Amino acid sequence: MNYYLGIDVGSSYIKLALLDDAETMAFQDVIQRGADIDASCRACFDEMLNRCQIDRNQIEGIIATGYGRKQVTFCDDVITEITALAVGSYAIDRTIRCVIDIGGQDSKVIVIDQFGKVLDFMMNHKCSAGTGKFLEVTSASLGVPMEQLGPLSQESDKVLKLSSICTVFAESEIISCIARGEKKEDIIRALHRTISGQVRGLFSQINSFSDGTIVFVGGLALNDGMISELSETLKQRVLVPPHPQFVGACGAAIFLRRKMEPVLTLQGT
Amino acid sequence: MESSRSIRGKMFTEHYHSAAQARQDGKPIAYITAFTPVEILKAMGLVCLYPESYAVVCAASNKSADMIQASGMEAFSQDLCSYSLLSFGAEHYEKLPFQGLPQPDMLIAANNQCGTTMLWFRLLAQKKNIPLFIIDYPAAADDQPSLVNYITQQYEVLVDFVKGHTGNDLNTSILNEQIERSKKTCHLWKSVHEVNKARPARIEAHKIIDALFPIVVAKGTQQAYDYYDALLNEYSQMAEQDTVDAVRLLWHGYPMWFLPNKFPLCFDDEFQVVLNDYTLWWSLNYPDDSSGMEALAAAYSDTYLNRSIQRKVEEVADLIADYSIDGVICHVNRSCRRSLADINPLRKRLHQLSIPSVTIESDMANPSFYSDEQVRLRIESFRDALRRVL
Repeated sequence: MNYYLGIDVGSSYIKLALLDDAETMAFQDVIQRGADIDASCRACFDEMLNRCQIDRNQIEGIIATGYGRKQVTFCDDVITEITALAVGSYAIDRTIRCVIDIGGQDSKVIVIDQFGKVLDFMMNHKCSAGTGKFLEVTSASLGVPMEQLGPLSQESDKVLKLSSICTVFAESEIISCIARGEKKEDIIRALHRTISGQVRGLFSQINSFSDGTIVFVGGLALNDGMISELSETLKQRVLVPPHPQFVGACGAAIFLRRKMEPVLTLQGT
Repeated sequence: MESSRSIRGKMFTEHYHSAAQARQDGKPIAYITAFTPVEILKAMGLVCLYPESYAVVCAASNKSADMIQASGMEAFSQDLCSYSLLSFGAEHYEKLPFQGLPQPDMLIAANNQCGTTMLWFRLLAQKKNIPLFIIDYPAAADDQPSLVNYITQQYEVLVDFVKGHTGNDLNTSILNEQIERSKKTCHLWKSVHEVNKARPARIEAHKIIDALFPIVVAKGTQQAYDYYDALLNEYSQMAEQDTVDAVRLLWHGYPMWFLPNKFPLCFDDEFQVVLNDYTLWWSLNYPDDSSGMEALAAAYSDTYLNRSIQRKVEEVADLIADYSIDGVICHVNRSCRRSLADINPLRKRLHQLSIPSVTIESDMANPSFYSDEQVRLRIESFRDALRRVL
């Protein structure tokens, strides 16, 4: 059996997706990104070989994507996360025409055509409003771990509105909310709504022209509260795949496999 | 035959030095906006200077960041149009290119390209205590005879205004010569772009931007005509084997004047910007079936930014077909609100045409709104996407 490895080096986490010849996921893993990106990726790669009990020679190719893709010295190819997310999403469902990714450092809305090719994309501009970093910083000021944000927000029974979209100003606004006795679950829900509002700004500029399924990927798509708020804000149902944080790594691996086997590409697409 | 580069170099220096000399000689000087009917003013003996064009000179000289900061002395918001901030900043900045523009005797503005210039010039008029004349060009008008009539009436008042302040009469012979040369020069300028309809493209779009200056500040002169004639000749003779066929890109909207090549340095032999539609905006359509003031009214009311959104979008779609464009980069220039209105309708049209596009948010002259890393990320992603499409 031969394998193809996609490594998605995000601003907060490194995700690995190992696919076999049939594009079936053989292994996936996520680790916190270290200061030395190449060393972190290499350690994760070695551990993968060990856990999967496969030989390095069985891996046909390694491709990196994400912000830190150029730091990965042992890969054979690199692609941007826009392409990787488009390929990965289209592989999940061919009716997908719009991909929403909320990452640690940015938010992206990508429009793809009926063949899975990128037609257009928007990213947040020079600001962390509407990103995972916004939620990370603000949740820290609430003393709530990221993984508890979703369940807690689902318990909210009050619509609270934050006026700040800026991470720094929102943090001080949260302190004021706490001081006046607002509940944590209501504040968290408001944070989700703030991010959704930012994503809607990108979405409405780019996606008002296309039909088709909208998919929500990236680490924040693991947060049920975020999914609910995003659907409500966009007034559309969003599809969330089973492992949303691996769509980029998986898409990169699919891209590589099809690139290395052009005959299969023609048949597959 | 003198090279186009040599002619342009002389024109550039002469334009600013002769303006300074005109001040010393007591000739009347007017500051005018980009698409003011300069032919009338030249035919009345006015020396015309373009603060917008001078702002570009300052931005291209890497002075815009400091000059815009200097405009803060007058408590202007940094969110205003960067050309206007450069103009106001120049009042508080010492190391200006060509020692700055000489003081004007009057201001003449038009709203056929920009709304901000009206306010900018009004403020200049107050500060300098000099007369201001504003020409109104209704946008996207469909009743051409009424439109032309409305504008020519204003031109007649403009002639009275200039005569009232200078004592100079309108020389109709010079006016007609100016109009005829403007018309021919605009044709040449369009033809210079059309050289790039060929595959491979002969010339990179940023080099065409370098040739923009004469059409902006010297449209009706023989020198400008000679310059574009020489340039077209040089481009047409460029050997096909000197260029490489590449993925052909259209840069929609303003260049980034503060960057060395006016575009981010993300292009190479594989991806080439073959057309910047902004430079084509300067090729006005002087009609064949009218002359004099009527011809001017028709040409100046039909500037690119004064057209309907639908027409602008369809014109870009036509350029995509004519120049065999593979992808479009839209520059969302925060300084120019009027140019932003067509971005989303254009995107919709590009989706229909299956032409990939990317949007870059920045500014034409204020480098503090430019983030190299963010722009590179977007363009690299766009290139990646284009590689898959083609």
